[in-house]
Amino acid sequence: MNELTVFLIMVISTLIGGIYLGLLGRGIDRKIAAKFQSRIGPPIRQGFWDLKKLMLKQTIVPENSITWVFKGAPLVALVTSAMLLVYIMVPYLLYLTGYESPMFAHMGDFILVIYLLMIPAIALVAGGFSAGSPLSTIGSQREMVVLMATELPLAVTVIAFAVKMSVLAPSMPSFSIFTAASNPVWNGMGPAGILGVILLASAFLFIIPAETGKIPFDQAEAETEIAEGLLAEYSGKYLAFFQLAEALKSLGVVALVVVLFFPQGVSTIMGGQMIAGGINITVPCEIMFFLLKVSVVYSVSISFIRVSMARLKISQVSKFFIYSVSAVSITGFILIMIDPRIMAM
Amino acid sequence: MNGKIIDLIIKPEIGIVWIPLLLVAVFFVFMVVFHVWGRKFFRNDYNENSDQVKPYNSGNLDEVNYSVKSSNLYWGFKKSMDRYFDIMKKFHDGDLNNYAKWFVIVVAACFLLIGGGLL
Repeated sequence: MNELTVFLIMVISTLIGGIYLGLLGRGIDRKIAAKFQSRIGPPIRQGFWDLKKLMLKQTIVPENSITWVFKGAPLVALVTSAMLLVYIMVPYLLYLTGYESPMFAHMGDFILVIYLLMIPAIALVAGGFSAGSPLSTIGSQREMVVLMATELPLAVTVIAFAVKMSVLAPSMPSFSIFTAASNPVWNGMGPAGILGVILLASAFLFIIPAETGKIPFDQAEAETEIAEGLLAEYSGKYLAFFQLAEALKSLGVVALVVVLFFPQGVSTIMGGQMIAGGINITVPCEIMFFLLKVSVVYSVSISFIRVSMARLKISQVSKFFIYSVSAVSITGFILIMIDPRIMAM
Repeated sequence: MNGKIIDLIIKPEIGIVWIPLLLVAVFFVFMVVFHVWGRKFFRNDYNENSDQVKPYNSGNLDEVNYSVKSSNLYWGFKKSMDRYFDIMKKFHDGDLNNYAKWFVIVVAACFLLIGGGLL
């Protein structure tokens, strides 16, 4: 098949599948959280029903808003979240399905992923500031602070991976998602390096809820305190766009963690192709296994943390990321650098 | 013509996605898709001359200041780094001699670290 056709099929299927799984993920997350709190919780399909409901609601534009920013921000957030998901998923799916082509060897770059992670948050901030409401403005201000605080640990983690990849696979581009997927970070390291990767993974455990605006880092929305904050003035279409963007971004961030820390597929673990009744079922098994890993990481980093902690103050969030999480990720980075096996290569 | 466009966006030596033109194209295609979806399948009307368009203010009918002061924009961030800012403020005392002194110290440190082979 033509490479461009493969690329287009992957992009379209990732987008449609991402929207479906993102909304389903929201439902599962709410169900798990409810179970933890001894509640029945909403049905798993609630995310789809919410979207359908918002399609029937009026889309109000506040009188003292900056209209073009207010209307444009949700669209930019949704588009960039979709791009983030596609950008992370397509190279990884190509790797899982075993589609080899020199053209795809450099696909997906971590530096761009960091920027794509930032753009939906910046769109949220711009939308909140443009709404002309005091609650939205406070929410935007908080979102900006969370965004600034998470940048350092995120950047340190990505650089640590690039350093490791430059040693493991010197012939491949260090910042490529494809390189990280085909060279699991746990391989070829001593105890110090493995401890370093564990520290980076634990830093990411807190970066995920911060990037997706979930408790204990949901100060920007804080329903009980500032009435949904930066989303206070949004309704109908634009609120649906923001909710969809959040669902896609959550899925994208979790997929990034899976690609970085747990890229091994079924065929790698089982040591060969999986054949049942004469039919090669490796690709469906790989995709199912990937979805299983995504569900586990999603449940632990989003659902479990949000039911076990309360919302922090915005200054506490900033302090937590600037000092604690940055220290953890920098220590992880140093441990990877000083690992004797890495230094020997 | 099509062949030329594909040649422009696909370069085997550097891959597909890193071509900025393709990323921008994907961005605009997604934007058009979601915009059309929003126009066709969502309600776009609202009551312009009603209280609906007034900003939500928790039931408080008084006029409020709708903006956050620029000095408070990074409040949480600055608050968490109070100690650091206090120290840095002391250094920024407005005396040009002190600034020049720090400039010389930083340049010397850079020379030592980079030129001296410490990094």
